Amino acid sequence: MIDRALRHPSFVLGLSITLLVLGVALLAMIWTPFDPTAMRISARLRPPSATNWLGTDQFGRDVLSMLMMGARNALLVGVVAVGIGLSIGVALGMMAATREGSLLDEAIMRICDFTFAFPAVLTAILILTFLGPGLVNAILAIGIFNIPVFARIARGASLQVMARDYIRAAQAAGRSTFGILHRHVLPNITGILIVQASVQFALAILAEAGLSYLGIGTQPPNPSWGRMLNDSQTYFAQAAYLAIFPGAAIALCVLGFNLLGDGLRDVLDPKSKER
Amino acid sequence: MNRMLEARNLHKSYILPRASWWERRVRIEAVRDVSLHVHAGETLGIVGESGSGKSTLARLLMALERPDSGRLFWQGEEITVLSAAELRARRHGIQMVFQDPYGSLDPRMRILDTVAEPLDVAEPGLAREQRHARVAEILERVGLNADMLARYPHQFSGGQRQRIAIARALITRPRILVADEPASALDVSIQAQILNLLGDLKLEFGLAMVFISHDLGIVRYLADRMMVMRHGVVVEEGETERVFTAPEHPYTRALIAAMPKLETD
Repeated sequence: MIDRALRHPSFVLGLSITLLVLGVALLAMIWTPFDPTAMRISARLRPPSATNWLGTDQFGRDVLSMLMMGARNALLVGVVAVGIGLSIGVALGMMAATREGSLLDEAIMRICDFTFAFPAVLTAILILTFLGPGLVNAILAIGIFNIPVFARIARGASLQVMARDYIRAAQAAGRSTFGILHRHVLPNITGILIVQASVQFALAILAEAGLSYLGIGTQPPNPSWGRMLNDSQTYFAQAAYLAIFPGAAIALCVLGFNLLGDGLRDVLDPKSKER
Repeated sequence: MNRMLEARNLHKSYILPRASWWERRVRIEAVRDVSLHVHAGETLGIVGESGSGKSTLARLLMALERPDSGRLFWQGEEITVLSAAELRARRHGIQMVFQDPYGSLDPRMRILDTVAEPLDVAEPGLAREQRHARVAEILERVGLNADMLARYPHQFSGGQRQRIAIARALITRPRILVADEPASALDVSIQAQILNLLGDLKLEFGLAMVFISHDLGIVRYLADRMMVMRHGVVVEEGETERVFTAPEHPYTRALIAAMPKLETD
C-alpha cells in the first residue's frame, strides 16, 4: 500500500506540502529569523531583501517570521478543531449506528441536520460574538461545526460495516457491543475518517483565516495569515507583497491538505486495491 | 437422548423501512411458529428456497436476534430469559459458519486474532503462547498451515477462508454448530472438501449441527433429519431418507422433482 501511495501524484504532492507546512510550524516554535512581534518603525514597509526575505509590514515586523508563526497557529486550529469534531462526532455517529432507527439515533441525526442548515462561518461569527473574539474561541466554534460532519460519516460507514457477517461472528463469539465497535467497526472506518479529516483540516484553516480576516479570530499581536491579509489592504498599492505572501500561504496549505485527502481516498479505497 | 438445541414456537417478523411517513407499514413474517430440536451428534438439515426464512431462523437459533415470541434452549438451558451478559457467557457453546467467506472475516484483522476471537472472550486470561498454540492446532485440524497466522483474509481463497471460519467456530469446542449455507458461495470443486470437513468435524467433536441449505443433494448427504421451510413455515419434517423417498407435502414433492438427476441408462 505504501508503494502505491508513493506512486500517487496528488498524494505525494499533498503530503510534501503538508510536511513543509508542518516543518515550518514546528521550526517557528523554536526559531524565527526575527521576533514576529518586534516592531521597527524605521524599517517599515521594506520590500523583500537579503535581511527581510519576505519584506516588512507597516510596523516594520518581519513578514517571514509572522508567516512562520501564522503556520503554527493555522495548524493548531486545524489539529484542535478537527480533533474536537473527530472525537465527539465519531463517538456520536457510532452510537447512533448501534441504535439505528431508535429515538437516540433520530435525535443525534436531526441535531446534525439542524447544524448543517446554518452556514458554518456565519454561525462561527455568531458564536464568537457571544464568546468574544480570540484564537481559543475560534477553535471551539470551528470544532463544533466539525462534530456533525464526522457524526454523519461515522454513522453511515459504521452501518455499512455492521451489516457484514464478521460482526455477526463477533457477536456469536460473545463480544459486547463496545468490544465490537472498538475491535471491528472502528478499524474498518478509519480510512474514511482519515480522508475526511484531511479535508476538514483544510476547511478549518480556511475558516480560521476568514475569522481572523474579520478580526474575530486570532488576536494581535499573535500573527495570523487571515489578519495579515486584512492589514495588507491599506498598503496594497505600495506593498502588494504584504497580501501576496499570506494569501499564497493559505492557498498552498489548503491545497496541500485537499490533495492529501484526495490521494488518501484513492490509496485507502479497497475497491482500487491491487490483488 | 439429550436435546442440545431446542426451539419452541419461534416467531419473528420485520417491519420494512418506509420511503416516507405517509406510507403504510409493511410487516414481513420471516419465521412463523417454528419448533425444532437437535440431539448431540445429530445433523438437522433445513431446506427451502431463498426468502423462506432459513437465515432468519439461523440468527434466532444463535440468539443474534430476539424472537418476537417463542422459547430457545441451549443444552437444556432457556436462553430467551437471560440477560445480555449471561447470554454472552454461554455463547462459546454454540457457534456458526456463515455463507459468504468474504464477508465473515474482518478484512483488517490477522487470521490469528480472527480465529482466537471466541477464545479471547471465553478464556480472557489465556497466555499468549497458549492462545497461539490453540489457534495453530485448530487451523491444522481444518487443513491449514499454522504459518499463516499473521496474514490477512484477502490473502486467502474462498475455500481457505471458509476453513478459517470453521476454525473460528470450533476453537472453543462448542457442542452446537449452525452452518448457514457454508458451501454455496464456493466453487463446486471446493464445496465437497468443505462439506466433507464439516462431516468429519461433526463426528470428531460430537457436534449437534443445524445445516441450512437450498441444495437438497447436500442435505440428503449430511443430514439425519430434515425440515422443509416455505414462507417462514415448516411444511414438512422427518428422517431425511423418509422425506426423500416418501414426501408428504406437495411443496416437498415439487422441490424433490426439481432436483437435477443423473441419467442412468
